[in-house]
Amino acid sequence: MIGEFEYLLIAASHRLGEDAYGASIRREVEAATERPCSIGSLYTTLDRLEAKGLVTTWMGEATSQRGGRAKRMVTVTAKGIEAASIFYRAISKVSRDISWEAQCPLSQE
Amino acid sequence: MPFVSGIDTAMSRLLSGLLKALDSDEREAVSGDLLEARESPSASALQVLGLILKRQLDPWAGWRPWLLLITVALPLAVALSQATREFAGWSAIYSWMLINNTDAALLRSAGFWSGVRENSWKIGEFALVLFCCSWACGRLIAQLSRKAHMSMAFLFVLTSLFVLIAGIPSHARAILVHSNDRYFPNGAVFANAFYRDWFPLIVYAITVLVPLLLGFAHAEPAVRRPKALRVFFYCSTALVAVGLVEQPWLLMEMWSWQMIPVRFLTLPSLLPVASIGPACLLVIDVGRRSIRLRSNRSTRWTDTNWSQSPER
Repeated sequence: MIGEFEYLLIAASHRLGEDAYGASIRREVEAATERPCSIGSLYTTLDRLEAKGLVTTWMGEATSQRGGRAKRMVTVTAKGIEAASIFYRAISKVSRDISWEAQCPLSQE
Repeated sequence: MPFVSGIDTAMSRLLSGLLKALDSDEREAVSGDLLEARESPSASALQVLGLILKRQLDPWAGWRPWLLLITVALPLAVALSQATREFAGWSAIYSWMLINNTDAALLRSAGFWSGVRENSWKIGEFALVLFCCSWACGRLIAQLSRKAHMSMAFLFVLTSLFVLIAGIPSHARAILVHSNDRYFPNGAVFANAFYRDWFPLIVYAITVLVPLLLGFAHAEPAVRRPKALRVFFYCSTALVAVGLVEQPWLLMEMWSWQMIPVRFLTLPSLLPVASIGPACLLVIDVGRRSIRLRSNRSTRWTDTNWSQSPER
């Protein structure tokens, strides 16, 4: 089964669709987790996911908004969708009947 | 705020230096991402440093780098470093004789100058041999270690420096060979702090460190070389390895520890012959690079002139 950060990257890439590339995935993960996402973790995890056949990446065309630098585009494969759904199902199963929101001391403050 | 802008300039330089350590595609994507995120140069440099460290550490989760480290990199580092120690030892004696014991009467003697010529030739020749062997070792390790080449280079340099400073376990009474130097018949030379402490480090930097890093830089695993050149490179590097292993100091150690159950033999030194192959490859590599650099420059010059031409 994939790890938590791998799931975050697959989910963010899938949500972004055709706009999924390094910086946009990083923004999406940071917004979801409210924690910084380092470029090192992002690119090494993307490499690992690509080696496992869960995503495919390629170099997009250079755009002027990034000083003429190309983007590393990401697409989730069918195998990636399956792996993410297995992870999500496991998380949902193990969390059933638990209401974290109600029990979280920080949200009650 | 000149101080802040000075730091930013330094960090920008560091950042561009760090980006060069990445593959061209990754460099392009990462520098674009950093521009888009509008992070400060120091934060960007930290991000890129993190990526480089992760990239270098990741391969060590597998067995390949460990196997390469134990079977190739560490033995070569020890052999090369010990060869440098030996070389630094005898060249220090010649240098001391020629530099520290010269007076006006000696300078007028023809025999003195004949000695200078002979010894300088000997020292220069062996320095060149070591330079070529170190270059070949650096290139071999960089080619074999692929993605872990920077961490492998770091470990190689660390090991060879340790052996240079501390020495290897010897059969001699003292545990480390180097601690015996002061009781050597040429003790007067090594009583001088320069010849004892600094000279080996200088020799190491010139004959091992610089060519080793050059070899690492010249490896370029992405560039496919002609098969004949690749075969020639591997054969000549194998000869260098044999040359490093059959040095008298190593055979003597093995013999005195009774690892070899035969009478001690002094074999002819293979290193000068073994260094011919790497020397040829080094010349070919440097020549190719200068041709590529010149053609790049001329292309850029043509482009600049084309874009500045009034007809356009």
